[in-house]
Amino acid sequence: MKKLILLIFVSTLLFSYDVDHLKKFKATKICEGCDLKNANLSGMNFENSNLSESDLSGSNLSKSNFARSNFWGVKLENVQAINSNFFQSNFEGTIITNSKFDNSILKGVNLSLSELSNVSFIGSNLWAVNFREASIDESIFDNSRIAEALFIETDVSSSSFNDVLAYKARFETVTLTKIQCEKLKKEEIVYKEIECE
Amino acid sequence: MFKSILIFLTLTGTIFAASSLNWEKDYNSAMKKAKEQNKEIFVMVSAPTCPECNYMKKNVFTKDEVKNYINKNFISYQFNIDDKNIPEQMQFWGIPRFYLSKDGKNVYKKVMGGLKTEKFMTFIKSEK
Repeated sequence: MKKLILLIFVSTLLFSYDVDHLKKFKATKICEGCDLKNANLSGMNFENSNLSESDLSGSNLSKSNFARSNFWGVKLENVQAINSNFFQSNFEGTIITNSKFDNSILKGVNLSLSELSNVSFIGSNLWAVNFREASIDESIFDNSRIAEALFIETDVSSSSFNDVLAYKARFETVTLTKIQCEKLKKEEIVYKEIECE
Repeated sequence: MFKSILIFLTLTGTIFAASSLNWEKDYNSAMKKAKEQNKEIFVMVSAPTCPECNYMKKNVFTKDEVKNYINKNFISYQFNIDDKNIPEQMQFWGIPRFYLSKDGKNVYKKVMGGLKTEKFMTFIKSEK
């Protein structure tokens, strides 16, 4: 019994955030290279914050304002970011896996060189998002607005784009499925060198 | 020469007006008009530099289905995001925002962001 309690205690310590890092971030909105695993950052205003190279895995960012924030090189695994605002934030080179960004605002966000795997953007606003050279696997963009977004040198064939507003979205050197090609071409996208496999 | 310019401007003005919604120029008169004509008020909050707002104006509000329905059933008014007289229930940071109101103050339906024509029509035709 004692061993079990000890095990739970140790694993809690291993998988949760650094208390000082969380305090620092809440107080200053700046925390580079911080350990914020499983932190609850929901319902707060973190506009213009800097979290570059931090680990936010398992954290809850829902209903928060992260407009114009820096997420450069951040690790986001199993993150909930529903109904949040990331307007014009920088996610360059972030690793995002098994996470939900549903009904959020990601207008003008930079996701270039990011690695997205099993990420959901259902109903989100992705207007003018930059996905240049991003790795996009099994992600869901259904009902989102990807108008004027840039998909350059990427493969989106394993992701879904049902009922998207893709007006003037730019697809250049991109791999798509045949069905995606047919659907997106009806949406006034701008395309060049796309591969419809 | 002056006459030709005047005719040109009148014509382009007419064409432009015919291809979009009938936006009222003053919110108080929009509310007054709505009451007089037993119509509801459609409000858009936007900014000239907002691409989504311009998409809506250029690609959605110019569709016959949309402009005919709105012009028949609503009095339309456009606030700029920086306007000081935006009613309390219509104040928020994001644009474009769309509101439906019976009296111009109380909102019964709202939506934010650029929408495809079908989705916008679902919003505008939604039950009060």
